[in-house]
Amino acid sequence: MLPVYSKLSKDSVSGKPTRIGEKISNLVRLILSDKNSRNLFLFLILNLSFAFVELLYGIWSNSLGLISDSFHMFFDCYGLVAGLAASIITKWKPNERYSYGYVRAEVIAGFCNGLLLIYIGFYILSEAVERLMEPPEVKHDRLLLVSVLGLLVNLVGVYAFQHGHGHSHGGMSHGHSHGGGGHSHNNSSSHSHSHGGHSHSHNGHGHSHNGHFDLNQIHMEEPENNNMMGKNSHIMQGVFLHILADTLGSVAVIISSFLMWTFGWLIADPVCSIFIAVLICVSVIPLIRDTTEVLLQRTPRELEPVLGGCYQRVMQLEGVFSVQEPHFWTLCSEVFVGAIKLEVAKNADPRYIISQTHNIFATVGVRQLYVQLDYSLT
Amino acid sequence: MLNADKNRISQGSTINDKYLRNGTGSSGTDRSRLPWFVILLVCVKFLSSTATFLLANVFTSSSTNHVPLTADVHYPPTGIFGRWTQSFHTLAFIQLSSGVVFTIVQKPFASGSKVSVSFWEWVRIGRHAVISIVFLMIWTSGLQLSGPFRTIFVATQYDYTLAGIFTAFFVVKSGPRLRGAVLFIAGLCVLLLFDHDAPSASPVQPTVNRVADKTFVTKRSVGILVLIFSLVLKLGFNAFAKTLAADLGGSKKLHALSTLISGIMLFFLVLIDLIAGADLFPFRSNFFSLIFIVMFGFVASFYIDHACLKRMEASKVARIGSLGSQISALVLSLLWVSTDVPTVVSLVAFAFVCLGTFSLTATEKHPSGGGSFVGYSSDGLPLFSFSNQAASEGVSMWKDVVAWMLSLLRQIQDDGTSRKIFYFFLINLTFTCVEFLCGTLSNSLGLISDGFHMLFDTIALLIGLCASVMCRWPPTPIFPFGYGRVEIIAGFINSLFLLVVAVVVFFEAFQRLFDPPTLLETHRLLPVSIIGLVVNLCGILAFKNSTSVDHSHHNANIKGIFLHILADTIGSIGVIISSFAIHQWGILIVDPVCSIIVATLVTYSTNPSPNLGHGRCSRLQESQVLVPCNRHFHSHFVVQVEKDEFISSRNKNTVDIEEDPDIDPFRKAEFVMQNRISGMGSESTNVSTFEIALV
Repeated sequence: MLPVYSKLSKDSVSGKPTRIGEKISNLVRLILSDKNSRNLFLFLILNLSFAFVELLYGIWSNSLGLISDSFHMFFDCYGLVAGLAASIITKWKPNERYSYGYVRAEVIAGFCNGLLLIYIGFYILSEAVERLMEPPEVKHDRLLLVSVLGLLVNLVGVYAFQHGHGHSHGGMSHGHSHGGGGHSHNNSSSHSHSHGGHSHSHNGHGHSHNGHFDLNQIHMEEPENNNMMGKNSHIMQGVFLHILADTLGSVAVIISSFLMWTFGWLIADPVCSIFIAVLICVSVIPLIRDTTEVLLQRTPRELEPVLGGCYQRVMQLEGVFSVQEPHFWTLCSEVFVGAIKLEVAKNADPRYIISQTHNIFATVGVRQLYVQLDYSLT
Repeated sequence: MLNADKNRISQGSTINDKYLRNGTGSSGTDRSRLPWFVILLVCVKFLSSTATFLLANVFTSSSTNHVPLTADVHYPPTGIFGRWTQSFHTLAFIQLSSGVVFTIVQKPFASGSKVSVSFWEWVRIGRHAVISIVFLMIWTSGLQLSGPFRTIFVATQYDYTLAGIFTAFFVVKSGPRLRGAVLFIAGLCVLLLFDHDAPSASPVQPTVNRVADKTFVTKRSVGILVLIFSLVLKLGFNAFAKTLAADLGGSKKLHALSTLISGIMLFFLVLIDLIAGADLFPFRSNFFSLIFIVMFGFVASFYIDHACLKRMEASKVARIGSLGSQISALVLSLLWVSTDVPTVVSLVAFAFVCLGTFSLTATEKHPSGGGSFVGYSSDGLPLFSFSNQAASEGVSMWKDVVAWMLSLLRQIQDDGTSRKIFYFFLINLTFTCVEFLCGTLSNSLGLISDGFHMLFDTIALLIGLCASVMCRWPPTPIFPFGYGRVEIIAGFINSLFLLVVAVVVFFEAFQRLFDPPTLLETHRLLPVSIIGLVVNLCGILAFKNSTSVDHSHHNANIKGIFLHILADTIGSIGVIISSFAIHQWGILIVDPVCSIIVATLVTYSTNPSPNLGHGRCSRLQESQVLVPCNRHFHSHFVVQVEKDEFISSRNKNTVDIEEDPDIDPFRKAEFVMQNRISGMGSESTNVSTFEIALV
């Protein structure tokens, strides 16, 4: 199963225009195929068109404020662009450089979006403190209209993405048992050590191992597209937070301009800004924490309460002495990978132990498990 | 309860036994009806709030009657205390008389004399007394600066609440406590930041505040700052006084002795002061109010706190007591004639702090909470039963925090790189603080915005510092792979932020290119940016060494920090050049052009930063080819952690190889594979997979 590359296949595609057109149509098809990325794409188009209208109107009416606000809108779109790019990248196939595929782009996108939001919060805070000292003259009449329109656009976004984000935490119940081949290798005692063979579950790629080890393998045929695909929950969470922050910003502008207009409180603007900045930072913290934990290969929070029970059940299997060095980590959202070492009796049945271990961990949602058997000498 | 019974049997300590029974018995009674001590607590809290208001009143009246001259004309201050004379004299009177009252009630020399007080303990009591004098002085100046209302709801807090804030951020991290802590701190921040517009709303305050209103920092916010400082001080002070109280046999005895001693000390100081020529504080006119202050503000509230702590849970006492005093402060400030009316902002802050206290003192609903509560008291020595359990929990919490910080410092000092980062971080932090202080004092916007910029740099350094410390932590069950990746993530964060900054600068420059601002404060920016350049050059020199010598292979963290400093340097150079050009030749377009160049440079320099070392997998592929029966290879997931160290499950056959640092990891992999091939050759039926990732 070593990857085989042919350079010919790439060069054989000739004619640049068709390639680009093909690429674009492929890209659009890819985007529209998934619900999340479709939502992202449509909302991005909505936002961009809004910004364009603002820019054109600004140029037409020669208002510098509108132009700069439209630039701001363009700048706001980068969160969406990042989310969209990540949701496409996650669909790329694994290659020899990225043997797990690009599914972790999801986590990184969520992390980046969170960091950028933190940065935005920080930026707003610093601006607000400056304004607190010298409240500037704000022309609220034009600002009010723009921010009401922005609020409407963002509210659409909030409703659109609440769905995708809401039910992303439910499903880790489909525990397939991915059979790995239960392979073990009982070393001869001429070595002072015994090392176990490895069992290895492999997802998707519905091919069977032909060869002389078939009897050791418990195969689970899985649909191809279900392999190692998370639900992109981090991306969606990041984008949702981004839109939420924008919405809050528009709300703040509306409230503060209302207050300034009716009561003449110039201080309302920076106070609202500080409040928004703090709100943004606080709401981003869970996302940053989750993604950082995934990137630091933390034992998944979802598995933490059940892992102890799993170890117990594994230990109760016949021939298993102890469970050593369990390593569980999250590949992307809801895809957990684990490695575990079992100390087993000299005459233990490796097939039974490994398949049972796989079953046990599959029920809690570990899709990929490496079991290493260590044969005790006694 | 079962647990408690077991403990009681096993321990057999009579004192402990008594207190346990006492505690459980009374907790049964207070469910049925509102007990008398709760009513008493609320009453005494109201009276002590009144006493605080009276004290403030005494101060203001004496300052308006007696020393208006010193405030206006800046007389040379009389006596050795200068402008602190009146508060000093008042404090001396209060401490001395309350010390006498405590001594009469407590009789520390007669009743508790089963443990005789040694010389060393006298010294410790003296130290305690001196610190409490300092604490009282800080509190009094806070009271004078910010008024009684704010003083009460900021500084009149129980240890339980304060310890709760610490636990919320370091231990619990969720639930009502965290909410409470966030609310509390938000209230303080609101008070600090926004209360300065208050004097314009209230016409009572005369010219002093009008002058202060112009600057960003007012007298009042300084007072709040002082009070917050005194809060932190109080927590630490009480925590460390607990051991002394235990040695002496009771915190009441300690309090009595220390108050008496501090009173005597203050009395002698006042005598010296009088000899030096100060005029005595007018005690006679304020005698009754001072007596009231002593009786209710100091003595009665202390005793009622202790009585209630013995009968109720600490959380309840803290909730009832602090809410009582806060609400009575609100009522009093509305009713009191001579103080200013509380402003809207301070009312908002008050609501924040009240809600925060409310949820901080919420009783925990942990199922194990009750059991551990009793168990803790019986596990601990009988000394803990004198004080409340939660306060002792706060003490251990405080000590944990201190120990944690010390160990952190040691960890920083252990490694050369993190030490370097730490020193540079300190330099940057001081620079930031100086900029903020100067900016707020001189009311210069440019300095403050530059201070925010520096703060951003400081945060970047802090991230790098955390990473360089954390990456050496050992693996835990929760983080089974260790923390080595923190470095990579920190480098990633730093370079990402740099990229964002560059983009923002680019956008702004673009805007300025079309619409150049007419007035630029070049004269103010120039010195700041030159100092910044010098600081950053130091950083570059320091980290250039460490990147070239210590870490010949890539270290994303150091690289990220280095890039950040480099970008700052480039930025300072850009500012210097552009302000020079504008100053000399008046070319306004230079500024945005410089900014664009800087942004491009920064973007370019960030580019290779998050390079996690690819291109090695191809070598892995080569090493796979060595294996003859390659169709049995499944996917090889090489999870590269850092510094080419593969995740290892420490298999017995590889331990000895792994610990030899000289061997190339790929050699290792090959070696192991060869090993396995030979094994496979003998028993080929069993082996199908190699897992290099789990060498």
